[in-house]
Amino acid sequence: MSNKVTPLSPGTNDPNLTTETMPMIPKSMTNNSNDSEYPKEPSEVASIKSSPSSSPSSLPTELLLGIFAHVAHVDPLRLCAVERVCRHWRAVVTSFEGLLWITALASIEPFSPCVKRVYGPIIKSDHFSDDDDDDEHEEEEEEEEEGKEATIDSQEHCSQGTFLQELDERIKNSTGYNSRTDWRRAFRIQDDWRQHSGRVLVVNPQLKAPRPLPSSSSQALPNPCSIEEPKSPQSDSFTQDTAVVQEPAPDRQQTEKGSLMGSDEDDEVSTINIRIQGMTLKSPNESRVSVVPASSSIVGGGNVLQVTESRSEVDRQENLSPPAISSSEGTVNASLALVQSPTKKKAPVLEYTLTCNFDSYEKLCPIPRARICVRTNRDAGLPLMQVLDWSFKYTVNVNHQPRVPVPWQEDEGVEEQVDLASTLQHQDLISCLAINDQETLLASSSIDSTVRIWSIHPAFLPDSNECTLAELETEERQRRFKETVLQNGCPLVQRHVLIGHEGWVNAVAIQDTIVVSGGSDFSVRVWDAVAGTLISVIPDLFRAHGLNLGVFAVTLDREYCLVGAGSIILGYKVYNWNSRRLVYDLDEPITISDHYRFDDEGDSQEYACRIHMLDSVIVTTSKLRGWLCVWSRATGDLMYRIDVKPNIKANPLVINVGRRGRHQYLPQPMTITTEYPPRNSRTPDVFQILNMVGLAPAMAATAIVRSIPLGSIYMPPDEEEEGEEENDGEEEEEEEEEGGEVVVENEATVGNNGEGGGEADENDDFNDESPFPSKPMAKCHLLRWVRGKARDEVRNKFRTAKGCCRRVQRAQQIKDIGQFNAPDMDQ
Amino acid sequence: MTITLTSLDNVEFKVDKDVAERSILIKNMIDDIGETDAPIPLPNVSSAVLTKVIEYCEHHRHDPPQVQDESDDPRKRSNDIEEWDMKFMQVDQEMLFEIILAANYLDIKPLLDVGCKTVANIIKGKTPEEIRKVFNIVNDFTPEEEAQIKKENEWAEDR
Repeated sequence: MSNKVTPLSPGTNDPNLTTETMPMIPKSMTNNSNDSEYPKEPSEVASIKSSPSSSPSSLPTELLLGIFAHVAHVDPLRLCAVERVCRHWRAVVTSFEGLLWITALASIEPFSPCVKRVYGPIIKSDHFSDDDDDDEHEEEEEEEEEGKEATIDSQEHCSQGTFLQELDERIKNSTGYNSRTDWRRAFRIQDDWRQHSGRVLVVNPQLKAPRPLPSSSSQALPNPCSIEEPKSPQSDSFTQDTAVVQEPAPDRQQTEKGSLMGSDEDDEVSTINIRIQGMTLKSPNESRVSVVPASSSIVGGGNVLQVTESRSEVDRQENLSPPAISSSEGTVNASLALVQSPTKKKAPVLEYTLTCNFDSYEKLCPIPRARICVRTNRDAGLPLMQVLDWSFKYTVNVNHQPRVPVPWQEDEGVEEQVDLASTLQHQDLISCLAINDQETLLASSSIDSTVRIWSIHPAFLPDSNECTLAELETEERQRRFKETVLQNGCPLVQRHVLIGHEGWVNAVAIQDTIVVSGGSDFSVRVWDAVAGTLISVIPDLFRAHGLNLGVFAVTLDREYCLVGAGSIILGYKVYNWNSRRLVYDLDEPITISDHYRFDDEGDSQEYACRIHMLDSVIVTTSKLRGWLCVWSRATGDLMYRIDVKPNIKANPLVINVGRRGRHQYLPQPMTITTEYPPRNSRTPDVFQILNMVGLAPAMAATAIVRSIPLGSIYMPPDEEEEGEEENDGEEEEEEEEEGGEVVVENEATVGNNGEGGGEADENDDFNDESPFPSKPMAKCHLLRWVRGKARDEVRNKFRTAKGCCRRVQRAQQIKDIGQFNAPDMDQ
Repeated sequence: MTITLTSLDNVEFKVDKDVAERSILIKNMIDDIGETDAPIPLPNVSSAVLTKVIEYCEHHRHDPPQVQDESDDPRKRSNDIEEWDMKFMQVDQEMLFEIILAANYLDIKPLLDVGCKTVANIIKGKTPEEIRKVFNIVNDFTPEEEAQIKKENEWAEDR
């Protein structure tokens, strides 16, 4: 036996196990009576070694199957690798192939809210045709797809059910590896749903309370100008209790409304609005249906893409205090508690504006309150940071110290001689700008390893008893700006230099008075912007993952002490900065082929490094080019993806701003340099590096995102909104709401065309005994159905095995695809 | 009330009844024979493994009884290994598989689940070669077979 079983992982085993244990068996078997000592006695080791069970390949089949089922769950395509390990494993995989792959398929499904939509067209077009015409076909399908999107889901269930039924047939009839093609099909569908899912938008029913407004920033700053919203003075983010969270914050709503109106004024940006209203949300734990009129508008124009989700005015006025959140300890518990607490009240008002554009080191950060705009420059000859007046006519350099443009490679030596803390300006390129919602503090990060905190000079803020600067005529405003600059100097006053990062600081985010920065030293640092002190450090992020590039995107939620970080590689991570524990690892499920695609095209994931935490969702750039991911904040699950690719012609997409509509204050469409490579750049090397790490040049982009609710959300057709959709030549969109009736026939013909005559029967049969009711609760029924199939499968397989009864139960539980939408299941 | 368990190597463990009854096997046994002071022999479990298993059971002694499979959330199945469990499972692989086997034998489903998840997480993201290396499995395929399987599985890797 010993020649077969060798130590499984040499690093963790006693080195003497293999050599000494066998002779010791007889003696130690009798002597050893030490019952509590875990580190292995030789006898115990020996007994283990003498049993054949210490290798996974020698586990009983049902245990191996359980392991493989989990593999199928976490990494479906890995089953192919598992199969290639050894004969025993292959035998297990092949004999339980249908079961495992169904597990894999069903495991993926929750991540893909739109997968079911794809079945129909795919069955028709792709499955029995050549692979090569995929792309054309998708484009052809595009219109048809869009026609169906708003339809009631039941028709789609039919096609989906047809697919699964057909799949099931194939499994039953399959012998050996013939069924591989089926799995291939299934996973091609999984591949393909991504192509369509961009138009799927699921409104998150798990809403979080409006964030309490901070008080500390206004009190702590010697800023004569009060922050816009009055707030309860007792609230402090670190000690807040339920009372604070429950605050309905009416003032804030007005502000939001104001910002919306502000956006309406800026019609210079050519925009495309898509609004869908009247979504019906199922309250997660109540049979009662609460109507939450929701609007989703997507504004694409100029250089920006906006996605706005907002609740309607009705809700806003009737805003009731959200259920209590017990403590600020971690967003997971709090959010879940919110979701689970019974409430008949309407959801709190939420409003996000998400802005995408192409990032560059030349950043614009408008500060509407002071009617100024901060700009950073990349070229060596220009000041690093400048302040522009609202019409972009006058420019003030911020503490500009003439720099000697030196070749990039020699920069390091120069840097070391500078005392960073005593300087009034960054010493090297500014990588990121961030301003808090109150527009009191501006944070800038630089590759000179510092983060600097700026405040706005009081003279530039509007007096309360005077008409605001915004209301002045442009020329008057310019004159005032000029005068104020002459009298008071630069509008930005440096308050703190935050030193601690080693190496570049790539990203900074600020909320209220908390600043979070991420750098190439793999750390995320949390600072107090008022005191200028370090609050917390989360070290060694992304360090283990090969590329030594560090953190490239940060976001934070002060209320729950959460900080999110993204890097060029792998997923996004959300930490609690108090406990420094990982809260979410947002690892986007993509297929192996996507990884390969990166390699093939010489295309890294460099653009996939932006993360923004919003009230109920987390938005990140996807690993797939030109996509955004939206994650649930309550569970950390991927909710849907947004495809911005068809409408953004250039590659590198980053989310640049995640705050409410600040870009809307820009006096004109963003005029960011669009030349690449820049003609007059004196530092091409720098630029190349910046480009390499994903800080690509600004490029024009417009985007249209379709918004379709799925899952537990049923969206009735709403003719009222049709008019708004057709702003900019998106004729396709109009079909969206009307396609409902047509789909039934479409599906039938789809099946027939694709499958030939035999499939028609199946379609009919299925329609008769459809497991899916004609209700919009799609997914859970699908899962229940798949689970039933999996259970049958495992029963059949195990019936022949011995000890069937208990094992069936166990395997069933291992295999079981549970419901994930429990309240819906109850119906 | 305490239960006495005897391991393969004749080590006696005294554990509380509710701890012991995390194991369905022992629970059924107790139900069958009634409460007794006689030690329950567990001839398939060595004392080292039994120590670990009891450690697990004691930590989870207050867990609610197993919910029916209906409530299993598929998304949480492999991602929700508790931290304690994760630490608990940080043992060498021999012990890991011993625990899995013991959990299977003793019918402690949560432990079995955690074990399977742990192994699955080890397998996750690895190539066949890496899996073989990690688990020290001998590649018993002939080159022809290997080529054939590889060809069969190309669909998962091309594109």
